[in-house]
Amino acid sequence: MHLGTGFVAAVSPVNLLMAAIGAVLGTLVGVLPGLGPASAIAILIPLTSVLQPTPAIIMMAGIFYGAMYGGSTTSILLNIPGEVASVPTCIDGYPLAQQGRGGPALGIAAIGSFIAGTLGVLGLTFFGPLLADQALKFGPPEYFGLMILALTVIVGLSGGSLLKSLMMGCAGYLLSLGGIGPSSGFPRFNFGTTALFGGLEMISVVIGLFAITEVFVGLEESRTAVSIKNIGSVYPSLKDLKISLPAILRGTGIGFFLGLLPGLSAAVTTFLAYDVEKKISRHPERFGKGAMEGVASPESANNATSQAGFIPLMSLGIPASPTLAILMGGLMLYGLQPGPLLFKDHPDFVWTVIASMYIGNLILLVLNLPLVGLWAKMTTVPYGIMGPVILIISIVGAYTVNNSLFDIFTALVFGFLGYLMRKYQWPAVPLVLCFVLGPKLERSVIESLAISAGDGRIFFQSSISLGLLITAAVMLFISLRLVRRTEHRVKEVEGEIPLSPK
Amino acid sequence: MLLGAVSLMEARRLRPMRMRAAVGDDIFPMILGVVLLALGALMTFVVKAPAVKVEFPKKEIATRMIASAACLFGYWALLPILGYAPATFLCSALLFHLFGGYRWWTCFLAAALLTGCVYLIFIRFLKMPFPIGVLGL
Repeated sequence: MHLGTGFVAAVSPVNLLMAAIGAVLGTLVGVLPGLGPASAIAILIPLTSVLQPTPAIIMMAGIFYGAMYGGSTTSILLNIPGEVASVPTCIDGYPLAQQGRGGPALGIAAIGSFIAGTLGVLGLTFFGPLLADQALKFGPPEYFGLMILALTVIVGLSGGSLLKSLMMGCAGYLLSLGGIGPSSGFPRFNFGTTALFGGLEMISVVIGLFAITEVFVGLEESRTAVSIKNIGSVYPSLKDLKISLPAILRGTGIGFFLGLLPGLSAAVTTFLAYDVEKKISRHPERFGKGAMEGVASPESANNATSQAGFIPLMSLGIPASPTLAILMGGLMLYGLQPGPLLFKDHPDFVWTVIASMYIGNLILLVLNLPLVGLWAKMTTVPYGIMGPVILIISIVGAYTVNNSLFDIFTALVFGFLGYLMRKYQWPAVPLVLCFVLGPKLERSVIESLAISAGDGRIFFQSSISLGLLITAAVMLFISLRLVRRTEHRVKEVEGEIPLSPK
Repeated sequence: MLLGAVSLMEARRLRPMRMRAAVGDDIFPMILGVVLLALGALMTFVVKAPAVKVEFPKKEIATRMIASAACLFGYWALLPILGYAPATFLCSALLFHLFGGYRWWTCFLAAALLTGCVYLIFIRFLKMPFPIGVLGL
């Protein structure tokens, strides 16, 4: 019923146009080497600011899909994974490109992304409202438990040192505290300046930490234009499809169901999907040398995990990845607070966006198959041109969120900090996630303690809250194990350590 | 640890402003301050983080990077004075030169194109109010 209404609204010319523009822009920016989906979305969010909330979010979702798909192009054609989750795609994608089969590999990636994305939206359609209904029963202590559960996401994105990630997470919370205090209404952490009166703008922080940092890292590495071999026809053969379809479905299943668990990022699920595919293959020796299933499965898992992340985002208000955190920031720019009340208070909006996701996936497939050649050519644009263009658009983007020069300054300072953090291996992702979650966590703490007159035991008295805290502890343990395993596999793939015997 | 100390100091400043006896805006900064101090102490004295080998860029690249960063901060400072168009043109021309080492006329041409495109998208199409500066551009 709701979905039907959503479809009626989603197929309006404006919404369709926005979904198409979002998908194309997202792919365009996602294709640029070194610029991952998070940076792509952060740069492009200001473009949506003149739109009404629904077409704006539809465009943002299109950008999200496009950027996720765009990342596979650089992985397959250039052996440059935009993020850890794309590393498994490189293992077989790049050998395929070297064999002149980059086109079919990109085609399979597009088809896999479409199937995984569509099945993922189907999951969101059914699970999202159910979860939101349950979450409506949550009070402040339960929300506290939920926020702690969300913290396990950090483990999945911790990279090297868990301690550093936790510290960056705390730094993110600290940064989120700037501005007017929720309880007293007095300004905090403004150090006597009016510029910090409203706190730091999330989009500026993200543009600095991701986009500006990335461009400077590119300048340091002296990135150059890349010439690409003939990629062949983008339409896969029937044999390729026959081999890839079961892998796509398996990858989707692994990516979606594991992606629902907080703490299991796409980096974990793509490696699991790739390893499962290799283990069950009758010819595991083909993997690493150009097996089409080796592209199909992790790419599908990546998209399914990303799509699964929309369920906790829209029904609980928990972003499972930095990209979704930025998307959540985009929603909040429009005064829409992701969480259970979003389904209740703005059903038209939610169902239109969900319906547009089905359409957006289709648009992405229809547009991207014929445009793969164009995207491949994008990677040949010299970095001497691309770098300044990204920088200027980033700065203009940071300015346009609030028309504030201070936001440009914030982006530049965080760009500088981001570069140093990258050098000293302090991960930026936990900082961004906690920056977004900070106000919610603080509100749950303050409201809970107000109810209990300052008694901290309130967090353990409700069975739901206690259950969530126990689940967080269990997930922390499981995620830690899986992350260590993924790190080991990344090192194997990158040749830092010998491959384990099968 | 420094961040933890800052957080605790701010919590102390906020404590008298509490509206309720049990909780206030100082609670979360206080908790964060304690956690940051504990994590900092843990990292400094107990679990030593693995040594990170940091390699900064060589002189030529470093000069280009510092000049590019200075150019961006200059852009931020000049934007309200010169206005959007001249500031963006100058900054992007410099960046094209620093990033790609192109000849100046190529840089000016590319800068004019970029300034024009961004102007069309953000100012004409999206109607964003950019500073116009002393030149009125």
